[in-house]
Amino acid sequence: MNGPHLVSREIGHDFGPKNVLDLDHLSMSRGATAILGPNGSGKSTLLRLLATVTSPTRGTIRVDGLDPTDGIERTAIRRRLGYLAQDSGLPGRMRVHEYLNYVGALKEIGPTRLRNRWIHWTLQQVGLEGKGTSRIRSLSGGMQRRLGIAQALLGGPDLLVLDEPLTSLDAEFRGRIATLIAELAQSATVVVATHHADELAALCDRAVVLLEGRAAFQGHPQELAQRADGATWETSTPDPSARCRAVGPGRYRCIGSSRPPGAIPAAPSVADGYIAITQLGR
Amino acid sequence: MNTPVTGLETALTRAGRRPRFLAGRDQTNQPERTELNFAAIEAELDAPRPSRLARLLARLGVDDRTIPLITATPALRFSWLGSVSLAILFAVNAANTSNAVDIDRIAAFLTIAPLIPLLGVAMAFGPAVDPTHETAVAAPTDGFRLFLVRGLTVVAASSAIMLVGSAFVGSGGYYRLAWLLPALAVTSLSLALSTRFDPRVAAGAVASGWLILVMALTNATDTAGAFGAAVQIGSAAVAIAGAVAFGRRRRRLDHLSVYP
Repeated sequence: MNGPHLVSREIGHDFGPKNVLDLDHLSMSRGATAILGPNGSGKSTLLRLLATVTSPTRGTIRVDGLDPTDGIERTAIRRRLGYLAQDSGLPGRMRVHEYLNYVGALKEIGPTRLRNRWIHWTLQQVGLEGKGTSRIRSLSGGMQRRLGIAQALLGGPDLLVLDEPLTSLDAEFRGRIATLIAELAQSATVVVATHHADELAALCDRAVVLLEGRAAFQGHPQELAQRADGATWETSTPDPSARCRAVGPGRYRCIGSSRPPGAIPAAPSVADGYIAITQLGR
Repeated sequence: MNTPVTGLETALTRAGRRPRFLAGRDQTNQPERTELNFAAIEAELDAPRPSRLARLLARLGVDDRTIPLITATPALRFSWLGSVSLAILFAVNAANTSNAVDIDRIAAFLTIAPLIPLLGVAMAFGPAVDPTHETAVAAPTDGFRLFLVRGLTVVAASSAIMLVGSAFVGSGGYYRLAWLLPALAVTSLSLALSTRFDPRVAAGAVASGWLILVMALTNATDTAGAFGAAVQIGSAAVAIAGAVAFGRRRRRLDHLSVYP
């Protein structure tokens, strides 16, 4: 069984008079799609629409032909869905197992024995085994994020909508969770909003860059990297006319149309392509 | 998702991460089955003992998938139940030490009591009081069922405390229970309004309306009139109308942004 096919047509979403999302056409199927964009570009709004928790102001969304505005079809979509909200929304007073048991019940997983097995398994996947009796408020920020991911995996959904899953994670778990997401995407449809272009978006099958609610790029992450072709440089001194970021002691990576003095050309990464689009409008 | 054979499962199988407990008997040999049995035992051992409330609900025959929804109700905290008990204790004490005569002694008790379940329902659902709200909205359990389960839980818990309190009110006769139908009415009306407004706003508006009504009726007639047969019949009608309106607008609770 493959992950569902998601199609959106001319969807828009307004908050009062402000138009926060305006997309012509978006199509996603089995595999991982990374949604990139600066803060406030509409990533979370898009994910909320795909996760059926809000309805678009305009346009249509279909998940394997199912219409999320219809109550019965929306429930059918939600039976296949695992959703991690931007704010994990964890009740600090609850214990880890109690919380997952609650989410498992919300996902209609039963009986208790089956829920226990899913809980046991998901805690292993996110490296929280042995934490079942811990109060959520006693967990670190990274552990809480991993718990949020665990609840999304409960029940084995084939549509995963994850909003910034790598936030607050240390380097080890960023790698582990990015690998897990890439593995899941072999059969499931995974939509993931992230700021980790090289660690996560590069592992995805597709990337969408949002700018002020509009899709500035849709394609393979390699094509995104190519947007910075001929504009990526490495230098020992940052050039004020280019977009430079430190990549090591005394080493800077710059994105700019002209070669900074003393810089050498570098192979562009997905993050470079993203910066080329968002900063240089390439 | 009772039979979780899904894309995620296929992906995990390919990646060698498939949850082994999903394998059927025909897909496993004896050593694998033994291993699966040990894994199942391990999962059970890892699961903490259910809470006292969960065990009580199981004994009462509450459905296995409903128990976690009840025990996770935000308003079912000891702090809330303690506050309710304290409020009722003060109301009962006021009734028993009042210098007023007969039903007038319990006027304050009858006025306040219907508001207790109402406030509990306001604290049982919605993004402002429940951090898991967005996760819950994205789950297949519909918002109406979740709201209803939690609302009824809070009403049942607070009504039980108030019934105990009523038993200790030394005067008023049958009027000691005259809060019951108004409590159902204000709670039901608040639930109906919660499909349009934030539950706290709905509860605040209904509570204000109830207090104004009681004051107006008491001024126009007397305490017996304010809680008499006409009010009881009216309360029953409002309770039914509220429940019908709540049921009809149930789908509005399935989204995150139902409140303007």
